[in-house]
Amino acid sequence: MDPAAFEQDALALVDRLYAAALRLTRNEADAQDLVQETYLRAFRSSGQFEAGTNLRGWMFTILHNTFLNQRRDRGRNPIDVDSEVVEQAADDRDGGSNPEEALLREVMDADLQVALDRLPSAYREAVWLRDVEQFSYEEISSIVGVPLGTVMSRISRGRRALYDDLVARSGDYARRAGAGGQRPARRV
Amino acid sequence: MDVCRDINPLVTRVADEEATGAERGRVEGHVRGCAPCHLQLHAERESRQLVRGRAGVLVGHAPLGLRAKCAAARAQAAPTVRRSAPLLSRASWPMALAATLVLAVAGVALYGVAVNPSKAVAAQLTLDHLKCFTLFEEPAGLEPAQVQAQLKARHGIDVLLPTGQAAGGLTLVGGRRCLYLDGSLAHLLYRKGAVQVSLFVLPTGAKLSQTDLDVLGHSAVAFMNGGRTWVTLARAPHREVEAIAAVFSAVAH
Repeated sequence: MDPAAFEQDALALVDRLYAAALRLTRNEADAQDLVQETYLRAFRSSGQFEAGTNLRGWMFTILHNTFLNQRRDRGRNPIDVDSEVVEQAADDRDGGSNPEEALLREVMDADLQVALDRLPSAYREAVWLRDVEQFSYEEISSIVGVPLGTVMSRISRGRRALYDDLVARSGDYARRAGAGGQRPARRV
Repeated sequence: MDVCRDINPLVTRVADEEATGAERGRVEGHVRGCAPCHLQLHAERESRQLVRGRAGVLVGHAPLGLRAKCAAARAQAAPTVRRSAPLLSRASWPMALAATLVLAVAGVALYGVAVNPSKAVAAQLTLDHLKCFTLFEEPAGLEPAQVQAQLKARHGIDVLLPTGQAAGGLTLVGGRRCLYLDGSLAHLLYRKGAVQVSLFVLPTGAKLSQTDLDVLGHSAVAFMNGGRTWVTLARAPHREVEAIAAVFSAVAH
């Protein structure tokens, strides 16, 4: 692929990569470092990219792998978010809860971002890649490097955990408001 | 009736509207008699709808500085940039500028960011100015007629650039086109002595609400000519840039 065309197409993805990096790192400075490192690696490896194939998926794969490497370098084990404990935790839910749908639909953007950030990393990434970036299940499997079944499971559990969190928070706000209380300060 | 274990893998596909008719029928039949799976399907649909509906807001924009750093990573990854490449032979154009136009033209205000769009454009133009002079200047100079012809023939951008005395001591040392916004954005690099001067030709219809801007130590002056907005930018006192802009304004169209 023509290097100039590659540069142009790759740099056009900076907003999306930064947003994903923010969700992965939950820290602006780390997100910027991650995106910068992603581009550096991408440009160094641009010769390996085949024109006409999925550049967006390729860039997100580099972002994902760079994130894992950075976590390892900083002494944080990325495996912790994939553990059975986390996988099973999402199953320990109350299947009979009563969703406060109207409140959920009025979730503030900032609250949604906070709720996404509260998800375990593996779930957060899966939900982000599926529902924000709208990658196919197969593309996510390739980007994250896990089997398709695991991708489906993470999307499912991530969406459910997000829903439960937002419903719980919405109910909490409603109860406080009903009691004359104030909406709690947003967690940053 | 299917057991939950068999249905679970299909619920996400149904929520994503990617299930086959048969799969959807199985799930819908099951959830009618299974409250936990019914709630799971509902929760997935709600979350999906919520996140997808807010995807634009969630993505937002990367900081301006990050764009420049990422663009600079290209040079860092391949330090031997061919400086002798013929004008306009590279298809690459300053994507950071394109990104800025997203900010300005599409509207930063949509995201509630307290940024002056004109100033955001000027800031990004400044970053492109610095980047392009570092990477793409042709010190030997270029013929305006050649640049004009190439811009028109290859990219459909019809401009008339100052030549000879009308150029007021300005030497054309580079020309690039941005493929963003239908490929109608041009960046022309000039020198006036030691001063590096950029002339940006914005796409038809793109306008700045402010014509005089000072940002990042650079001065920018915008003017309208031939139905387009032109922006002159240099690291020089504002009055000096105004004078250069007047040269362009008198001739360029």
